[in-house]
Amino acid sequence: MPADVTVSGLHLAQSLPLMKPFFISRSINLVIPGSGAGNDFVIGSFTMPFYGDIVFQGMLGIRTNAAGLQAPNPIKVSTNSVPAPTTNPSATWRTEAGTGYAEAPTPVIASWVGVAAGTGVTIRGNVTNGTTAIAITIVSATGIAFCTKT
Amino acid sequence: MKPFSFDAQINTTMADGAYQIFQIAQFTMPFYGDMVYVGSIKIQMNAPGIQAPEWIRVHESSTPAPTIKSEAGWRSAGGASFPTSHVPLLASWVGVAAGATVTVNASINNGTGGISIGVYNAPGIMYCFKT
Repeated sequence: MPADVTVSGLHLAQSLPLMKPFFISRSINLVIPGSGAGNDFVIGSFTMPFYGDIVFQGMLGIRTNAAGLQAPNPIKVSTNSVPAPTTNPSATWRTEAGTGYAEAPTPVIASWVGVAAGTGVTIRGNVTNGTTAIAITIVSATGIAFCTKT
Repeated sequence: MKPFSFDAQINTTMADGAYQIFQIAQFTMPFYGDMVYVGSIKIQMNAPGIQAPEWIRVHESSTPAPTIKSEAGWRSAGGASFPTSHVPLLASWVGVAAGATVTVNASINNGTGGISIGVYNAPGIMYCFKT
């Protein structure tokens, strides 16, 4: 936050910007077994700078650990995030039945309404693997949390 | 906050094993502040098989250089098809001067599976924040 200034005896208070972004990027390297197993993991955390709303736009790098069909579903921001998200739509990804493993980044988005100033926000991801025997690895997570003062 | 939207038309072919840098956005920063870019780039394999372009990212040759950038990998599993995907591109900049000409570049390193790839459009939005 910029410092206040005084001009000709008039004190001018600087205000916080109406919106502040936080960039999150981390390696995860979490293996989730096949046959429908699920898992929850941390994407990133930050401190809410003011009372307001948050939207998160990010992606999870996911790869299958062996050749063959596999369909992780759903891929989403977890309801175990702190605070719990207001919306957390789910995505999915299905690989081909080829002869190699497959890798793709999958978008994840979520929103929060009315988050208190100073709240320690922890965004978590949640992926349920498909029902074949192929394990997947959550390689990395990258995203931007846009905080809006309301 | 001021957003700028882009849809760079690249429409080029990258040979197997090639490394290339593409300009995906250019604009003038309207005020001193920070920026974040949210976009994607469309890639298609030109033949069936296994190919693994990586790392697909906003490149450090962008001016100014990004403070943080994503790195995404994409790998087909082979099979009889021609897979296509929009791969996300994310990056941020801190403390960009008012009036600065901002040029955003992306880079792709094609894999070595013997397959060329087509690189098509790169839609995205740059959000500029006054700080």
